[in-house]
Amino acid sequence: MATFTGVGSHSSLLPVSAKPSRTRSGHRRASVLVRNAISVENKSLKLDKSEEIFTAAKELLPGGVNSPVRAFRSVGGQPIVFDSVKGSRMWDVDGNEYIDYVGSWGPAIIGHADDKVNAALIETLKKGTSFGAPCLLENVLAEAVIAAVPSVEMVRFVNSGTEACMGALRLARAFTGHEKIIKFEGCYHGHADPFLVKAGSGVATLGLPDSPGVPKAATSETLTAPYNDIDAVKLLFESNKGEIAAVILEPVVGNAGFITPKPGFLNALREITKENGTLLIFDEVMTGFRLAYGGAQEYFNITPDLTTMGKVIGGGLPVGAYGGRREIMEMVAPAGPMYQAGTLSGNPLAMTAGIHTLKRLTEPGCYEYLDNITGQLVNGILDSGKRAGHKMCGGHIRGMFGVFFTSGPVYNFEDAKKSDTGKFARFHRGMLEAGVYLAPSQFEAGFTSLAHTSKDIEFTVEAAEKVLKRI
Amino acid sequence: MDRLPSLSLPRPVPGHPHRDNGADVSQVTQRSPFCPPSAFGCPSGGGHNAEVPGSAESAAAPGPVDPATSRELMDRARAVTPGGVNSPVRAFHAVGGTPRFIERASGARLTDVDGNEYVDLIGSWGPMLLGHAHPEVVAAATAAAGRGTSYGTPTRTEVELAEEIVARTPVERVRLVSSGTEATMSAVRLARGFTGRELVVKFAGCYHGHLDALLASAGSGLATFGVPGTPGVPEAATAATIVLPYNDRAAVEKVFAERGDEIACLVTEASPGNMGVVPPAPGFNGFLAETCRRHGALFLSDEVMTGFRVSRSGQWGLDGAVEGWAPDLTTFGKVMGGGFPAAAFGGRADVMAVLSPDGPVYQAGTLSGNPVATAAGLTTLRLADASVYARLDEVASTVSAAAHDALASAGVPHLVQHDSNMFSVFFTDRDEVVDFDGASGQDISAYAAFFHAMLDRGVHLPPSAFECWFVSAAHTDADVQQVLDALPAAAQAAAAASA
Repeated sequence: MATFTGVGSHSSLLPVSAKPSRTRSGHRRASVLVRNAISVENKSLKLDKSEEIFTAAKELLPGGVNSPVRAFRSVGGQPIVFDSVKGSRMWDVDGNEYIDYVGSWGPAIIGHADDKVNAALIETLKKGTSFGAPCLLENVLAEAVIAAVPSVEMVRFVNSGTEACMGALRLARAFTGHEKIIKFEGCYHGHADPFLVKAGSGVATLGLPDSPGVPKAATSETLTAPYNDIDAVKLLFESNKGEIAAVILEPVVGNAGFITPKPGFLNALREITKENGTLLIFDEVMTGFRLAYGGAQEYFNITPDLTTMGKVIGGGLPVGAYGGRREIMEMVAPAGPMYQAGTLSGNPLAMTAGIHTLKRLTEPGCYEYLDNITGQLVNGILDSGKRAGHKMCGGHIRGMFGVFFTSGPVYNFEDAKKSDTGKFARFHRGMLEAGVYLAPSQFEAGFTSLAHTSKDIEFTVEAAEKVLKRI
Repeated sequence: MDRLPSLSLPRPVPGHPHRDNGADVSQVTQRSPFCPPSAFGCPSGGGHNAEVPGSAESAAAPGPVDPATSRELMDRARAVTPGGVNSPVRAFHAVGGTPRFIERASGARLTDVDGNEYVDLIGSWGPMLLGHAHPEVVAAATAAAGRGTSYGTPTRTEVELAEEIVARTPVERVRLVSSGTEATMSAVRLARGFTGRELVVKFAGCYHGHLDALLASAGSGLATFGVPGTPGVPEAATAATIVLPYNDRAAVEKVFAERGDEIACLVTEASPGNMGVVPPAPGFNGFLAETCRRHGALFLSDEVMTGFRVSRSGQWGLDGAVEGWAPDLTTFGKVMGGGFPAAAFGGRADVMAVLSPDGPVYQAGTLSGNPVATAAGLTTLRLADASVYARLDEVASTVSAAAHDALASAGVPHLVQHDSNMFSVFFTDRDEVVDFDGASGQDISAYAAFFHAMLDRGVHLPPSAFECWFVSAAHTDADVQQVLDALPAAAQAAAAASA
């Protein structure tokens, strides 16, 4: 058993220094060159403490991280260890400040460390974080979700998107009595074995074909089609007639970069699944409460049979959920025979975070605001890119966006993979040095929040313009 | 009673087009197969959610407030959540009656929404080693929340928590996740990826979370409902899972002799608590470790329940550390989350090196290692010193001895089994319970009567005979005394029920 003094010497849980000044001008210190930084200009980030902590982390955590994409493998450079976040900002352990477009991969839609949410959390903390027994707050959040999301008449809370999709899959199989599922290339639904087939997110980022350790039997019933390709889906239904339990998809892909459904695609899926007695599952872990209060299904006006949720619904704490038609959900134990359980599921603290986050999102104007600033952001970046002569495309819907370094259009994962990932890496590094934190992978969507101001957006677009001229 | 919070969130609108207009919820739930045993006079196929006539919630008990609000909230819950709960065992199906909705918890005490207070012996099913809302854990979580509850990036605290886990266990490298289920599913994938093999061996009655492969003869909620498997799991998913009787060396030897080179891993609860407490026979875990080693399989020890509870180094601290062996992989959860969703899997460095991003076996999680859960977990582990374990042991032995005495005096056939401070009471006439078959044959109606008698006297036991009674270091002498005072009447109720 190793013991480490490097990190342990900073054993206080409080930040080493007070929050650094928020003025943008002085926050770059061009002092120590980080050895392995891909720097596109002379300026470099001082990342000494990040390096120290991350080096210690690599001795303890595989890859130094608790989730693969955080390791910066596809963009290179020193992964950054963060100390605190607030609103649209992040501060790393060296005191560098960034405008954040990762938003913890989705949850932070009302901004990090929201004061009202935190006040509620602190009150709830004092009353106990987990009872292992029912509490009123589970009802309250359930009712809020049901009122918000068109397909959801009944909902079960779990602890992650992975658990939500596992639950939904088992339920679809139990309800229909069939076993096969259709998923789309580049979509990611958590890491349950049957979903680790042509998956997006970290699997795509790392260029993994699929994952070892997943028995063929677990994936042999997983059929895949290219996103946006309804003909491929029709073929699958023809050759697997009466055997398909569910079609699952991200209604707007975020895990292969940002890819929107073609007009009519979602509708066609709704029709073909209905015709075949197959369940349509919208994985709204990313899009839920982000594209609209009622998610992608509200935005596109298509109602699936089951929906999975996560991220925003937990308000920054670990929460997932799956829900849908009552007759389907009534199969879930203890109402029905389909087993799924969780010690921390529905714990009052997570429910509190979710409730107050949703409450904020019901205030008028939220989604218009997100649409506005995100549109400015993406258009600004794409314009700069074009003027600098780069092949780029991208788009946004409300608070979710993406930019690809390829001329596009990008309709599916194969199209996305045409992106110049080397250029993306240089763009990523350049933006980092300019104080903008983007997802360290071409195959992840970007996220804005209600805390992003138009000044944040202007700053970001200006930074992008400079970086895009250089790379 | 605290005013129910008015959170002015949109409520479901009756008659909304996507709702099954006017569906009678009670009618829907009557279709459920999970009706309490007929001893409660439950009409066939009918409302398991109804108040059970003649249940111990009535006359004999001294003055608890009728759980009217809990009942109302349960009705409300059933309309929006399957079975009204987010985890099956909370629904009280095995014991009947109204699940108590908890308003607040502090130390070793729960308060329900009707103002009833209970000494807590569920302990949130394991995490509450230090009791609820421990001030230092609250302070650490509060401070962390102020700086953001989740970044999606590396942070200091996750490294510190990993250090703590590595320092106390044989684990060399660890990956943090958000639940025991996630920990086990990842560890199994890793074992399969590392060995290149597929077969997994598990024991009947052990529960490792609800991953498809291990939902075969599982314990915990499944034992409570007596369900052998579950619909929705393809046969192919469990076809590569071999289920053996627990504590059966001959069975283990036979399987490994026949198929040892196909076995990726053997997974066991380090000391099973999900079928009630059924400890490993002396040397059993060491035997498992050695058998795996000889056949190139990995030994995966599930310490989600025992980890940091039965000793500061979990069950391994009581056997492997003493006997000189270590599992190849271990899973943790519950206590290490400090009351937040956090768990972990870890082990040999060479095995963990196969995990992404270093290796090709995939696993990820948005909230994995988040700064609030890790702050709470780290604080909890650091506070769990020798005096905490001494107190846990003391409370456990006092309560378990008193339970035994009370039941013996009342002439109720029973058996108390324990592993360190984890214990449970089997309502059985067996001399010992060493496996799932032994655990299964309990007098559930006796347990139900016992449970409700305790509940009416302000002691909240696990609402299932297949769960461990969890104590904490926050149980005061007064708390313990209240439990002791309640036991004789509860034992009488159990005797009456089995008469």
